[in-house]
This record gives sequence, C-alpha cells and structure tokens, in this order.
Amino acid sequence: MHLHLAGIDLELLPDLAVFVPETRDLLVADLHLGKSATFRARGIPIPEGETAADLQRLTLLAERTHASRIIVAGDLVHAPEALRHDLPDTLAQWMEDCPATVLLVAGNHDQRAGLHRIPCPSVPELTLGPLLIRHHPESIRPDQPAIAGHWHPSIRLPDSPRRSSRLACFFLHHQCLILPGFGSFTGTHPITPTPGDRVFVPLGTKVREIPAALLPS
Amino acid sequence: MPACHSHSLTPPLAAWFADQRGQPQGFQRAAWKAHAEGRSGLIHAPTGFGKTLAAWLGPLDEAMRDLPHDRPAPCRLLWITPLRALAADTLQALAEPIQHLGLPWEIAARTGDTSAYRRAKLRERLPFALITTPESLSLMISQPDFRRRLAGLTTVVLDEWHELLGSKRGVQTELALARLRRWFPELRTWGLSATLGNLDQAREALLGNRHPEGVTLTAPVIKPLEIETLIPQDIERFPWAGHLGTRMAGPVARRILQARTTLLFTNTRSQTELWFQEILAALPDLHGQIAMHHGSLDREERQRVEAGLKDGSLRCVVCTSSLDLGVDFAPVDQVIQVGSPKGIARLAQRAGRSGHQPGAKSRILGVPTHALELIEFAAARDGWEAREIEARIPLHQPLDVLVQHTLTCLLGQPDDPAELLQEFRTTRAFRDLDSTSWQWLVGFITSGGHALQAYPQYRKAHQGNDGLLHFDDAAAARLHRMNIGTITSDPAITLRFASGKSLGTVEESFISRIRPGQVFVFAGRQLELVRFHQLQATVRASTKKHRGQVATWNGGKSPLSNELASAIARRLHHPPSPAPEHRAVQPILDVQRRWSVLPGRDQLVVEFTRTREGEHLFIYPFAGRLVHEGLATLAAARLSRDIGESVDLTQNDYGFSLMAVRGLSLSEALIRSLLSPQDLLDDLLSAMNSAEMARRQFREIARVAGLLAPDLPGKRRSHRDLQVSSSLLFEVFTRYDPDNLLLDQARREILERQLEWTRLKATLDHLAQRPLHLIETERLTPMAFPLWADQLSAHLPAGDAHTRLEAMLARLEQEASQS
Repeated sequence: MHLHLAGIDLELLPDLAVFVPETRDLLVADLHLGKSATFRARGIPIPEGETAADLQRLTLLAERTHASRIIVAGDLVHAPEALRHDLPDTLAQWMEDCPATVLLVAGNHDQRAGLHRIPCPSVPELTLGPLLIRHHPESIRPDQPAIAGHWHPSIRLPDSPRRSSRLACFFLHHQCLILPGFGSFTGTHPITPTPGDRVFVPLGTKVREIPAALLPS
Repeated sequence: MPACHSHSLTPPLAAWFADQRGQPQGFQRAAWKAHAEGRSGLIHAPTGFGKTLAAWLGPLDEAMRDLPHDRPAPCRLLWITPLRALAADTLQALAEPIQHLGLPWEIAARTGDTSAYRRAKLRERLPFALITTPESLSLMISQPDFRRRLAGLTTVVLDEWHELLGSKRGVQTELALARLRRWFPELRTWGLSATLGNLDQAREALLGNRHPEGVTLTAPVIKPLEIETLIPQDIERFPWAGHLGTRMAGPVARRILQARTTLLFTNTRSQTELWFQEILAALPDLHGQIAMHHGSLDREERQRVEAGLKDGSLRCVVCTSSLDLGVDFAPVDQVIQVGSPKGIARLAQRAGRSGHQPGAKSRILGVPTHALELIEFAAARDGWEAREIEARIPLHQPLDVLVQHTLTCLLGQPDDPAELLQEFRTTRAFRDLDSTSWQWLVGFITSGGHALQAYPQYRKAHQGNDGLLHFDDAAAARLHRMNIGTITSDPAITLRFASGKSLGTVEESFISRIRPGQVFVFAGRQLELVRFHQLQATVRASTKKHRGQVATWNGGKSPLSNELASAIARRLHHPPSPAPEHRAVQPILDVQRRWSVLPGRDQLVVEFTRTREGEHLFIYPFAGRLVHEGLATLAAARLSRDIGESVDLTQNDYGFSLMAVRGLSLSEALIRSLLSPQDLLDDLLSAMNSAEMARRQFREIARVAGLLAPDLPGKRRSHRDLQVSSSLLFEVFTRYDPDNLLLDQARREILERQLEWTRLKATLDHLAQRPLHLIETERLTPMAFPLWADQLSAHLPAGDAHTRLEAMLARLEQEASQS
C-alpha cells in the first residue's frame, strides 16, 4: 500500500517496514536487538534466537526491495547488557553481508546502551527531502511531515462478533508516520486514534488502511 | 524426644485452661499427647472448636517444661497462616496464655504487611513463636542465616491447611516444610483443617514422606448447619427464564434489619459492588453502617471494615471469599449467601462465620439470583446431610514452583544437586520427580534459557568447582526475592486519587477498556478515570448522573463442585426429601418438562432450537462447568472443522451450547461424533491452541518461575528493560526452546486444571454409554435460556488465524464501502 506524505511516495510493507522508491531507502524502527541477552544478564533465563532471526528478516527485505540503504529509526539495540558480548561482532558481520548500507537514527535505548559501541554510523536525526526522521514522535511539531518510531503502535480490532485481535500497525498522527516495532521480541503499545489519524495494518500479504468508522475512539 | 510424662499439661497451664475453657476436649488432649511423644499430625475440626489451642498448647507446654521462665526464649515455633489478615488475631490468641502466666516469651508476626523496621528487628532476633505466611517463610529461607537462627525450632503449625491445599502456594509450603524437616529431623508438623473430603491426602501433603507416622485427630462434634432459602414470593409470577438478578434485594434488606450484624456473601467482586449498591438503596437509614469487603480493596479500607465488624458498629458487610476465613467476628449473627452456593464445604464454611462459639448452630440464608439456584441450595443441604464434602486435590509437580523454590534454597546456602533432589522428593508434590526433569531444571537455572546451551552473559545460578549449585549474583537475588510471593497475584492496577490516596486494585483487562472521562463503579464509589499510566490509574469522584459500569475481575466464575453437581442431578430426579426450594421451582421444572425433558445423569439430553441468530444445540451432561468448557471447546472445534462455519459456545454448570449460523442438525450420529472419546487429546490440543489457552496459562507459570520481572510500582525504573508480555515469552520459547518443560507444564495445567482432563475423559467415556434423548424445541427452554444468554461466551471462528484475518479484511472492505 502506498501513502503520500509531503509529496513523497512511501510504500508500507506488511513486513513492518517502509520502502521509499525514490531514494531506495528501507525504513524500520525498534529492533531492540539483544533483548533476550539483557534478560539473561539480569538472571532471567530466556533462549537466544531473535537477534539472528530479525537480522535475517531485514536482509531478506533489503534483497527483495533492492534497497540501497536501511534506515533504522531508533532503538536498534535494547540495553547496555546487550552489547557486552557478541552483539557488536554479530552486527558488524551482518552489515558486511547485507546488500544495503545501514544508518541508525539514534533512539533512547541506543543512547543508553552506548552509541560508540554500536558498530554502525548514527545520527540524531535525518531529513529525507521534506521528511524529518527522528526516533521520538513527541518531539516533532504537528505540522512537520515526519517518520518516527518509539511507540510500537498496535490497534485492537474486532475480528469476529465477540472477539478482537491486537495487531501491530503503522500510525499516521498529524503529519508523522509512526512505524511499528520491527523486533520479534518487542511488545506493542495500543494507540487511541483521534479524529484525522490514520491507521494501516499488515494483513496477510498486504497492508490495509482501517476505515475511520472502525477505529476505536 | 518422646517424653515419658503423662499428657496432662503443666499445672499452671492446665489451671489457665480450666479457668478459660473448662474441660479439654478429647482431640485436644490427644494432640497434646501426640506432640509430647514427638509426633506430627493433622487436626480436623470446624471453626470455633478449639483447634488453635490444640496445636498451640503442646509446644507451649513443652517449652514450659524445658526452658527457664524468667528470661526470653529462643524461637521454638513457626505458625504459618495463609492470610495476612489472620496474623493479628492469631497473635492475640497465642499471646493470651503467655501473658496470663507472666512468661517473658515473645510472639511476633512477620507478613508482607510488616514494616521494614520490624522485619529488620526480627532478623536480629526471632521471637519464641513467629507467625508468618508461606511467602514470608520462603523469603526467610532465602536468608543465609535463617537456619542458624532457627536452631531451637521444635514445631511448625500450618493454620487453615485446607485453604493452601490444591494451590501452588500449597506446593510452595510443602517444599518449605521439606526444607525445615531436612534441617531439623526431629521437627514436628501440625496442620489445622476445616471440613474437607480428602483428609488423607491433606495429611500426605502436610507431612510428605513422613505421613505414615502422623496422626489425624478429628473433633467428634459435627456442628449443626441450617440452610434456609429466601424463596421469592409470588411464585406464579416467577420469571419463566428464571433470572432474578438483584430483585430479591428488598426481602434481603428486611432480613438485615432483623439481625444485629449480617455478613452478606456474594460469589464475585463485581456482585459485591452491585449488591452493596442495592442494599444501600434499600436501607438509606443505615448509611454508614453498611460496608463492603473484597480482596481488591485497599488494605486500610479492609482493616477499617474488619474493625467495624469486630466492635459491632457495622450492621451489614457485603463481601466475597475475602471474609471466608478465620478471623472471629463475634457480633455477626446472620450470614447470607447470594447466588449459587458452588460447593457444600464452601457453604458450610461461610455459615460457620456466625455462631462462632463451640456448640452454637451455624445458620445460612440462601438467596437465589436464578431459579435453578433454589435447587442448588436444596442440593447443598442434601449433600451436607449425606456428608458428601468436597476434596481439595493437592497439585502434582508444578515445575514453575520448583524453579522458584530451588533458587530460594540456593540463595540461603549452596547445595548439592543430588541432595536437593532427595529433599524435594520427600514432598508429596514431587515424590516421583524423575531425574531427567530434575537435570533439565538444573540446566535451566544454570545455563540461561536453553537447557542444552550455556550463554556466557547469563548471571544467576551456577555449578561451582565444589560440585555445589550456587546462586550469589546480588542483582539477580534482589529480583528473585521480589518475585517470591507473586505466586497468586496477577499484576494489578492501583487506583488512586490525584491526592495520592489509594483505593485498591483492578485488573488491567478491565481498566484498559475504560477511556479517560468514562465513569465506573469501584468500592461503592462512582469514579471517573483521569489517566491510566504504568500500573497506576488516577481517578476522581464522578459527579455524572448516570451510573457507570461495575468493575469486573476475570476468573470470577468458579465452577460448581462435582459433589454439588451430583447432588443437584439427584435432587432433580430422585429428591431424597421434600424441600421448600424444590416446591418453589416446580413451575419452572414443569415448563422444562412440558417443552422438553428434565436433564439428568441417566441419559444425555440434547435440545435443538432455531433462533434469529442461527441454530443451537444445548447439551446437558451435568458434569460441572470446567468439564463443560472442555467438552464445548472440543465439540465446537470438531463441528467447525466439519461444517466450515464459525461456532459460538457457552457453558455453565449444567451443560453447554453450540451455535452456528447453519450446519447443525439433531442427529444421533452428529452428536456421537462430536462427543467421541476418539482422538480426544489431539483434537482438544488443536482446539486449545486456537483458543490460546496455553498462552494464557503460561502467564502464571512465567511469573512463578521468575521469567517476568516483578511489576512493583516504584521499583519499576530499574526493571524497565525487562518488561515483556507473557505471550511474547511464550512465542520465544515455542520458537527457540520448544522442549522447555515449562511449556509442557502450561499444556498440562490447561488439561488438568482448566479442563480437568481426567474428569473430562471419564465424562466422555460415560456419555458414550449413555442413551441420547434428542428433542427439537420450538423455544428456548428454561435450562437452555441461561446458556443462550451467557455474556461470557466464547467464539470459535472457522479456520486458522490466516483465514480469519482474510475474513476480517473482506468485512473491513465491505464496511468501508458502506460507510
């Protein structure tokens, strides 16, 4: 599904990412790599697996879209503990193998984890033509066209008469498109849309916009 | 240790007893004697019959013989109580003879409510007798010097043991007892239990592998129990569908006026909120003398109500099971049960809250909220008279509790894995724990998540060069200690006024449905939600005219006990004696008979009805709510698979219903295939997965096993990197560690606890033998109506998640094109 934001064509992908055909940029947010390692470092036994799986998903996505650059809109890694062991090496190796370059727009988790220890170039924010890319949506002026992360938005929708599902979604609030969390070991946060907001949900192989009449208010 | 002296108490104690209580009863003497002989056991007597003194005077008497009377004594006794609220009253009861005899021996309580200062004092010096809860006991076991400080321990008493039995807290207690007995092989264990159908199992769980040496002492007196039912007047105009709701509030209010102090029990917290409103409206003059009590209210509020009950300043308290236990409220002279009694022992326990003296009669007034509950009260009376009392089955091998307890033990002291296993095997719960499971568990807590793979960054338990298991990481230990005691509590949302005053807690699932500005009822107040953020909901008093929705809690619907269900089936067909309730409900039973047939246990009645919504099957196995839930899930899954339609299902204590838009029919072949015992496990497991039950059950397991960081307000910041939902954890484990035994436990617990697999299978086998009675009815019968009207019904959509999403997509598009 395509969305035009400030004249830029954005392709919303069901894989929880956005592709910009004009610049061949692939945008994702909130991977929270090394989350299970963080749990283990604090004494909570959780098996490893999600880091490799998420990076592989991202590689496949870059290959499929022929993206030249992957922009991570913040929270690539989860916490300082995540970087203490093999994650920096894993990341460096992955960047070498990945067909696209990688640019991190630093998020709060990245900063706490230590940007200097993340083996990937990072910037506090980025402009893509008229679009501002920043991790925190709260800090963006309502009239500024932007792409952000941080919220891990999801929406609860009825899927049969007496049942509802919570689905990760893209959320257009004012002029800011908030990306769903990409990491498979991250939760979601239910949003409450206000009039004028738009919600896009990955359904099967497509992304669909939810008609305003069906949005919870 | 076995003493040669006779079992009569030392003279000063005997004199005190004679002065206060008169003649000791036989079971009390027997308990004192057995204790003096070094034996353990279970004391079984109704509330108010002197169980406390039976257990307490043995150890006290022994101490008076052993110890000098002019100086403080070391800790000799642990008194474990399941309810924090009971600690204060127990303290008073135990202190009474000590004070009277002028002994300088201290008695103190340590519970979750004890202040940090007090706890620190207790860490310095344990009192002669320490009253505590299972959670606090576990916490103390995690302290390295606890064993040394307990060196003089002779006896541990488990108060209200029936209350712990059958729960994970009970297993936690079994494990703690095993630890104490390993430390002090001479330790005597005494349990106190109210009426229970399986005393032998209760004693086994209490004493572990030492149960053959234990005694069971029963008070010979049976406390008389009188069950009266408030019968709706004007039976002719009894609503045919039977729903009474709160229509009985008027007559109930009149009964409240006739008594001095009334305890009005309901079955759920939301019913408590509702009835509190109704009683208040019916008795405006008693404003200020009517209160409510349930487990989610703020502690201060609950204590205020309890004090009001004790001093007689309250006329009526509307409550839930939070007031089922222990504390003696002398002024209470009337007990009312609103809604189904649910179980025979439960009704007797509640009735016991009045007439709290030995010899007094227990009385309870039943108030039906539904016509069939009239029969339930009559059946409960039948059951009580036939002494068909419910059993509480102790749990078998909950590994999540063992994970937690193993770490607790290791915090206290490093230990040898083989010796630990041996210790754990002395409990009933883990007596047949196999070494494979044990090795898995050791691997799980030492490797960091995948029992077959060790992660370098993992910090918790580890096996040292000495071969012992150690757990000494300070940060992980802090997390673990916070996690002890979270066995029962679901993360709760605290309700607060902006001023900071706390009102109590609600479940996240309820408050997340309330929008800011919306009004709801909690603790009898109209509240408006201001904001809900991070486990805190800020509210203000609402001035809005309309009444908001009443706070609800999950798991509010407890099932009828098997014993009561049998008594009901028997009463419907072969009533053992005439009962006024039975006469009252007769018109409804007649309608049922006229339109259909009266279901029972001799034949399986199946009704088929068409309504505007579609086609319904109503099936009445009379096997209890949980079994019906399993049967309904199974039948709905099979039906949905065969006809390719979504199926709605509901269940109650009498039966279950299936509804589909089309595709149902009244054929014996269809019914038999839906309820066939063949492929039961596979079909049920696949139905369950789609119902996401295992995922739900995993929440509790993950919490107990310490996989979810404790959600303590105030302490949150340091753990915010550890926030994760249990369903996400479930996915991660399923994907990356599918052999994890905790996943296996989740499936097992669903089968055993949620669906009662054993009973379910027995029911299906039995149903396969029973003749079917198939009948098509023109209208919903009185038995069918409550199933049809059940709001809490489940929906089993056709197809898998993918198909469902596609269907949703189509519907979204359709609705979009219409809007």
